[in-house]
Amino acid sequence: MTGLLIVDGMGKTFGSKRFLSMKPAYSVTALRNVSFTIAKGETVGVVGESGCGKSTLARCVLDLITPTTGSVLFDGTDLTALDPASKRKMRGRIQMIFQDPYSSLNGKRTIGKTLAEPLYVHQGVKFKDALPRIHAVLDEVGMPRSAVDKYPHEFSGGQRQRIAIARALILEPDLIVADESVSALDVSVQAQVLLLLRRIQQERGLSYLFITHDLGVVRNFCDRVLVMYLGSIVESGPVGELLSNPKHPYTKSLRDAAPIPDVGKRQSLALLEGEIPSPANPPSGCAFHPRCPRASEICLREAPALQATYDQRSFACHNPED
Amino acid sequence: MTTPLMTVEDLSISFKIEDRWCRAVNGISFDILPNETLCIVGESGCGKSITAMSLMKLLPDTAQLGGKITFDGQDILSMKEKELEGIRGSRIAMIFQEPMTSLNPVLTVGEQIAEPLVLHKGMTWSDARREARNLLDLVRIPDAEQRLGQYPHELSGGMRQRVMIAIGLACRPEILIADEPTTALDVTIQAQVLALLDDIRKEQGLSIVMITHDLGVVANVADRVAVMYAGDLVETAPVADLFTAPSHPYTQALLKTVPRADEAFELLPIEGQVPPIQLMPEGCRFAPRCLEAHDACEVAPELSPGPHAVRCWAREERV
Repeated sequence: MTGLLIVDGMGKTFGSKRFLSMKPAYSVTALRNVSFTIAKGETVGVVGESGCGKSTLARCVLDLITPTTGSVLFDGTDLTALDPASKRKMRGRIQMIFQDPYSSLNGKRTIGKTLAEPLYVHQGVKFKDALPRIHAVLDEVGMPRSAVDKYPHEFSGGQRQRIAIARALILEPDLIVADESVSALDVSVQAQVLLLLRRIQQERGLSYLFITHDLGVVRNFCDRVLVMYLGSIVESGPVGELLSNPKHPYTKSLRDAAPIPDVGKRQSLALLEGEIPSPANPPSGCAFHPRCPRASEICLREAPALQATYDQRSFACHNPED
Repeated sequence: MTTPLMTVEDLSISFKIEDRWCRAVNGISFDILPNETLCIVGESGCGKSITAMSLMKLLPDTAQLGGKITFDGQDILSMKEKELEGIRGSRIAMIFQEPMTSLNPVLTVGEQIAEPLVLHKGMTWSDARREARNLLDLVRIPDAEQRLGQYPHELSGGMRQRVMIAIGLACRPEILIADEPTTALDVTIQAQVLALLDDIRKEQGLSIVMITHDLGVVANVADRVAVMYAGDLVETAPVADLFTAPSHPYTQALLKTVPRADEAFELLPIEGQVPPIQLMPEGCRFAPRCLEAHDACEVAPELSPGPHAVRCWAREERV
């Protein structure tokens, strides 16, 4: 299996310089040595609580935020080493869908204009020449062609997310980065959009990097999943395996906290004590040790390395679950 | 049968849109029993939040109300503002989804918890402050003494929601209405807050009305469930019955659209969308999206009697 996207040792540190401030300069490490690959036609999910760095990861992959360390190899080209013109060219092949279709679409532009813009920017196509392609992509996402002359406010949330998907598709990308793209939708509409994304994947053979906090969505939509905690990948593997037999205590807690719509599986809910620590002041050793039910003395001193096991699985834990 | 704490009968809420009265809540009835968790579940625009607001008559003057909400022998909907003040916050309290916007950013946590005690119970500020400290212990906020002097921005989302709960509980209400209390929180924090609410319900013997869109949350905390769609209460049942034998086509369809963390299955979306309030269909409001709709659905069905009640013509023979 060749990787379409190979991220190697990516790190991102945000810093503040002293400026009109009495506080000393500080830095926050949002991503720490993150490595993973996405194969052609594969869907890789990224899960974790807010503040775990999953959105920073998505933005670093597209170089919307420039990573501090590491490389992003896309189809054999290192994106971080490209000059701006070549980078722009490559970006046409990686597109993004955001969480909130209310703010990601320009309210003062017709849908047609919104969909034509990527074609103009990347390929110099004029609006009237773009129309057949706009119609085709609207057909593909199940929107009427009459949408071309309408504005975003005339559509519901689910329809707007379809338009955002159409905008991402129009350049025929190889990879789509979706950051919480179905989180703002009602479940019945969410299911429509997930099925649409899957159908598009089957037809076009593209890959998804799918950022979400919803383990149910991950279970039903992704092939593999990366679990993040405080900027690091703590566990990764094929979705079914990883969720039915988690090795990292954090993955297990996350899974057990996800409520299942089934009274037969009514859990005793509160399992994980405490909250995610501030990345500005991370705990020593393993970042998860203050909340971990399996923490031992070594976890306080030494951060565990991500170790690969069988079946594409890897985890970073001194005391893994059985 | 236990006597209900509150009875909602044929509640309707209408708003005037373009000179026409549109019914956002379309004649719904349900009871709130003592010491139970009742979940009202539905998608956006189904009317669950305004139903919750109406239980305390917290609706704008532009809303036209119909029906009856009986609490302690009195009709809430016909009460005057002055009388309502004696109930709101003290006998019926409410917590909201977004604790950042519902807490006052310029008052300390201690002042905000003490305020209802001073207003409703006539406590002195120093007594109220002492009680506020106990309430922080009750909602399991560590270092309570120190937290009393902090402002909302100094707390995490989970902690803020605990403070909201403490304010809600301050006057030992009989009913706590929680509108999507955990939607803005991470799953691990959500689990903590849900467990806290359940413990408090048992300890204090209060009733919780929880508004949510998350069927996973419902399955885990509810005693009884009311499912709403487009302003109609379409099904109500004890939680076990609702999940093992969902009867309304909407409930059945909804359960097939929720992705589960424990197993992958083919999601079956409900085609179409909830119609806007101005364009509600006559008759059964779910009919345009219903796979079982037939001629009879042009007339709105009534909610069947009994503990597991369904509002559907196709289910008439079964109940």
